[in-house]
Amino acid sequence: MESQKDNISEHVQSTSPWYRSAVATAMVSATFSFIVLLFLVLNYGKSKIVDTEDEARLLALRAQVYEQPDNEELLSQVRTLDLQIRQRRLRAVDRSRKGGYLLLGGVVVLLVSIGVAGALKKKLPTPGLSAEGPDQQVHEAKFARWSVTAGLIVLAAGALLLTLKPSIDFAGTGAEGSSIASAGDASQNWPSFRGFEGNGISPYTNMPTRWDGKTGEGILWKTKVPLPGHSSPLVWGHRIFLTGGDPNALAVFCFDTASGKLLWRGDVTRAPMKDDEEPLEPMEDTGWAAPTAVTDGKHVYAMFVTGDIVCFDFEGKKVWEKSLGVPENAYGHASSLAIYRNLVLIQYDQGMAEDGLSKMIALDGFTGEVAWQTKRPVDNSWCSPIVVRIGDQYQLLTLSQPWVIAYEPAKGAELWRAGEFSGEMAPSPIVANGLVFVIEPYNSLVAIKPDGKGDVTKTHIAWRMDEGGPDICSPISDGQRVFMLGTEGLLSCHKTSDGARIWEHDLEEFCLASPSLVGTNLYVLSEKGLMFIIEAADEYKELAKCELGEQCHATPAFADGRIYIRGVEHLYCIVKEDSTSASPQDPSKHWPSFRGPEGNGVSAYTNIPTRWDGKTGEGVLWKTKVPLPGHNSPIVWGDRIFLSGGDPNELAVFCFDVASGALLWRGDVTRAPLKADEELLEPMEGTGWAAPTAVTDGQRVYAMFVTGDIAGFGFSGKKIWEKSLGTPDNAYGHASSLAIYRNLVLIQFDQGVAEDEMSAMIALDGFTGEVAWRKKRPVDNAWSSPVVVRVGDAFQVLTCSLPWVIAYEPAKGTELWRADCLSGDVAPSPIYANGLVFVIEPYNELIAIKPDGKGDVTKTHIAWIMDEGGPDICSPVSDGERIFMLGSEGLLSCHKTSDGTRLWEHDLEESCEASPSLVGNNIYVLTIKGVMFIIEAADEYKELAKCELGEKCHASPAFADGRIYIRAVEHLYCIGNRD
Amino acid sequence: MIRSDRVIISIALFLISCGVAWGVERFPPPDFESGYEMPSPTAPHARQNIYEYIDVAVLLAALTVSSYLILKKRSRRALFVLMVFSLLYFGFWRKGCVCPIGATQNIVLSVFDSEYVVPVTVAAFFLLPLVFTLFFGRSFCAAVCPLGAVQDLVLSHPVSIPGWAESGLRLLAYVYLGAAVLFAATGSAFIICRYDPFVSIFRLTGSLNILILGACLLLIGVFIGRPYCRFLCPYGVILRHLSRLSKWRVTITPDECIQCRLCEEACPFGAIKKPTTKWPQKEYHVAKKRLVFLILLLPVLIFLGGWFGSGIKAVTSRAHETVRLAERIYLEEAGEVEETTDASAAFRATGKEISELYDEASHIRSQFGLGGWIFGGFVGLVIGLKLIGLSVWRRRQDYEADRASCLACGRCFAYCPREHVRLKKAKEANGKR
Repeated sequence: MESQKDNISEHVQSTSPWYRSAVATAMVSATFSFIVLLFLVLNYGKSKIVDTEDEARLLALRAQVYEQPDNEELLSQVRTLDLQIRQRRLRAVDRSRKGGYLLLGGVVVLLVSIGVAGALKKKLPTPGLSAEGPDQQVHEAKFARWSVTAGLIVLAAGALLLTLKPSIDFAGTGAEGSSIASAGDASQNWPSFRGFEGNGISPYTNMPTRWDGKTGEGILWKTKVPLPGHSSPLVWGHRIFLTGGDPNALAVFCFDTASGKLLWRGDVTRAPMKDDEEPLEPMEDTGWAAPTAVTDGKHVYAMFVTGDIVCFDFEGKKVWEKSLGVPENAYGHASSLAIYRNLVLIQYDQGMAEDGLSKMIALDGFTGEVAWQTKRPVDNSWCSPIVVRIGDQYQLLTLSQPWVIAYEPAKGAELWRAGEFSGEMAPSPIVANGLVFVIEPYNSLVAIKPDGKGDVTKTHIAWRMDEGGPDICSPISDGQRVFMLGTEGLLSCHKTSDGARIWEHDLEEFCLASPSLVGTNLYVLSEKGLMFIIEAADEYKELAKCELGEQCHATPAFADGRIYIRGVEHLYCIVKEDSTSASPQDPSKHWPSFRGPEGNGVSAYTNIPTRWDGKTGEGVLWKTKVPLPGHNSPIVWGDRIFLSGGDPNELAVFCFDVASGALLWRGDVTRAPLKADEELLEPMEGTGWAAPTAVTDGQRVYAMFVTGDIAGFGFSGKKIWEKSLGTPDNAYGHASSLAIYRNLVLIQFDQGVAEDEMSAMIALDGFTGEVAWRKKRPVDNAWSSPVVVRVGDAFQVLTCSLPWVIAYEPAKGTELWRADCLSGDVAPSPIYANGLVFVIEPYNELIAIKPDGKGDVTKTHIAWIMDEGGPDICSPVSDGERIFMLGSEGLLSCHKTSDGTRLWEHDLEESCEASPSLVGNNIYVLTIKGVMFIIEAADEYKELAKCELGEKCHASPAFADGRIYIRAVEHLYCIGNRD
Repeated sequence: MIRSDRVIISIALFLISCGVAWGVERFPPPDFESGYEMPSPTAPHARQNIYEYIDVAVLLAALTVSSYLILKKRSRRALFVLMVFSLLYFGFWRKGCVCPIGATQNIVLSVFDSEYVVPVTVAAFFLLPLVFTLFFGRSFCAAVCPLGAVQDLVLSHPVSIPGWAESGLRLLAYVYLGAAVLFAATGSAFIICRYDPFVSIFRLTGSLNILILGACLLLIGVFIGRPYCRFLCPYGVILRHLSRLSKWRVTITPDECIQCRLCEEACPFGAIKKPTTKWPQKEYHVAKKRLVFLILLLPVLIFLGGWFGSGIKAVTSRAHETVRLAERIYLEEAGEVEETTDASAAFRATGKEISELYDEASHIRSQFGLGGWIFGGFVGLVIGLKLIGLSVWRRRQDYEADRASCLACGRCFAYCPREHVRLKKAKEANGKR
């Protein structure tokens, strides 16, 4: 029966023309679909290969356009190629789309025909002989359970594998926002032994060339180093790091560059001795702290002869420490540390090569964990590794007996090696003129080409000079010449091209410190503390000889205008003679901020011109166009004037030369992008984009804009940092100028109303832009500027806003006192004179406050209030006896500082926005029309002069030695007497 | 008291303003003289809201018709036609979006993110199939879901999978659902949409990997019925359990089962449950002990699942762009990578503190930790309950469509002699009329 049915169905299938048609259609449509699919795959592949090559070519051409923007032929090539690529791509997309439809159609036909064929071939159901028995069902359930269990195991195994994968711990070390300084920042500091890249070359050329330790000439400060050591100082920003040690203590010291004050001491825990270990007694010439530390700008890493290594942050907090064990080293471990990104690199050479103890170790700077280590087939040594950029890659160069070996610093892979060198290797290698220079003590100077792989002894040694070499000091090169210094004082100069000796000179002094290069001068420090300054030229020429008066073993460090020399007991800071008395924190000779030092509008100079005429040019030394508009005042330091300017498209800081008004540099500030919900900023015309006056500490200039963007530039114009505080919620636009206290840039960031709790006083670290401290202020938005004044023995930052006058301690932001005495739109800034703080409540009052209180002093420390009105914009100025206020309508009034009694009042009948200034016994008042009234600061009004500039002025002028700098709406003027 | 006429006028004005208001391009494209049309940057193209309401209406209609065809008409052919319509409309016309499967994520996100509001249409897409399933069984899967439809259409040479294999493979759908909920709740990713295997086919364009995935599933689907629906669909997990409670459901026979066994091989999806006999006595005691053990094991599995789920938070949290960015910044800061990416460069340009980013990433990771506990616990619970379910003896006399697994495709109807009797009677009744 069944076979009959089968026969019937088979007969139906085989004879049904529909079945055969369906099968044939299915085959044809399958073939068609396959061909179309193939075509689509080819089309896709073509676009991935051919077009990719063309696109790479297009990108390369585009890069060339940046360099040659006016090259029409190049532009034409770019356009043509771009068009070709687009056309090809669009054609491919079109083919792909059409192919897709064809494929879909083919597949549909295929499925329909298969369905029809299937329907025609359908068999009748044929259940088995009997239904499932219980055993079968039990088995099925059992297998099902095992199947689920297998699924569970697979899932668990997968999860386990995923948990084993290392992950980044944001909450752990290294995630506190720590970032490693860029190579650019490192190159501006002295971060390791012999500076950046260990080449001994100072990034600055403005070094002192004369000093005398006995008389103190050129010595800015000298400070005792608590523990002895031969390690060299490191300098980063305003910090100097040294290490020291004795049998009882090992420590890292941090000194302040400005004063030499010891900021902190970080003690290092010595790893306990092993049972079979003998007490360590390092050679006296090595000492306990021979290796120079290293810093990445956030942390300092130090190693000692004991093999202990430690990491401190810049505040002195110990981050980690570990012990590598006491290295087996004949004279004691002396190799300094090197650094590559976050890796601390240690040349840990021990014993003899055959002992297999020497290794190169890289520790993760964040955690102290070993990132990699690699054995070295070398003897113990005393030279230091260096990390240099050669071509596109960095190389870690090491020297020991018998090999000089280069590693890839990130992973420790060996790049090349050359040998065989013999001797007790102490001089470190350097790189110059595309060659690696190594010294084989007493024997030779060798130049090696660093672009090889593997053992390059036979192929990459460029030349070898076998006329001897020093045993301790590392060489130095200016690119053309390489200089070697023997410990006996023999200084020799050789060509880098072939090693030929150019000259040789015996200094007749014992030298342990390696020579350094400053511009075109060599600085060679003898053991007696005598610095030879020698011209780096083809003839020996001694330029100067400076005595320190103390023994020196360590190589000095060079910073901006300073040399730091470690004597056996003291650390010295050497500066140029004319900057001795003016440390960066002594701005009295300059005009470093809004209204000068202490923001009181008082000029330190009295030799200020009293007559000029902008129309005739009389008294105008120069006039220069300011590229971008702004209402901020000029600031002056030394031979530089700084202004900021902005418009809707650009924000920038400008530096002009005081002598000629020439624009020395322009520093563009990046505007932080608008947030998604943020509206376009449109500051009031009266405020503009660059209302806050910048501030300088003599080494850097800091500027802020109405957008809340703030940037720090070096005096050379290099941008050091920039950040965005966000656009302040300020009715008229942010106009509060910056203030400065030591390295802290102080920002009065008042916003909204007090209830919004948005206002804050912010202090940024001038070196890094990082927030040093931030204090909320219970005030409304304001336009007055903070001032830093010395009150008694301490400094105070005085701020005015509605409703409080608040004084802070500037180093930490601690609130000292406050007085509730202000209302209205507070724009005039406070001043300090005659032991009182004077603040203005616009239109209403002049208030005098005693600044020696604590907490809320509203009821106790307000000396007097003069409520006969006050200016709305201009800040007051005082000569101690009198205080002068200037209203924007031109009403100038004079009051006693003792009780506020008005002495006189005079209407200048001119609108004024610039605040008045005091020069000697004269008040200088600048009107919007550019007319300067010079008035005697006396108990009666007496106009001494009226000088016209001929251009509108909004900003307060700056006063320097015999000069006035006035910013008009378009130009910067220098008023002075021609010498 | 508010005057009703004012209310009516206000509503009328509002409706009128809706009618006349239209969007104006903020940055209108240039007028091309050549007749060139700017391609739409979105897929599917943005449409007016009215069409989305039409889609909901079509979904409602399709579900209604599907339920009718399954329960009343019992017509496989009609279901097939409806399936083709659903494939064309919801698949190729609407490009597979919005679909109830992906809408799950929208609902989850709206629960956990107070700033996210689910559109009414998306909520309707999510809820309507669930409501219909609760009453009528899996009518959505039968002939309305375009993903199911495309798989159903390619099924030509069905091969049955052993039941034990099916039990294990079905776990994937639960894991997928849990992961989808976790990633949606944390605002990280809509993985159901991202890895929809058939969307590239519906749109005839898209990621090559997804296209290949879809093609592979369809190829498998030629032999193994609806592999995505049975083993991967996260929405199907919800439908499975709701359909257990459905008031009405598909039955193989229209009235009574005569144990003819003709429907044993009828279902290509293994959804027909055969009658069971009494378990052997010796197995009964073992089964009892095993059941007790599995019940005691259940909380352990839940805990272990949660522990593992939380343990992989470092990996799962990478689905969130903030965590990925923080990791990238960290690697750049640590010097482990040389260059920046667009995202890291953009972040640095904002001037935002890196520590803030790290704090944000840590917070998100901790959310994944908590979510991982719940996700892992859920998977542990499912596995535990499955094991328990497989140890429980269920007595069954007739051949039945499994309440949870049956996709209501209607293929089994033709196999039942009672169905043929019903159809004959119906024809006769029509003929007499």
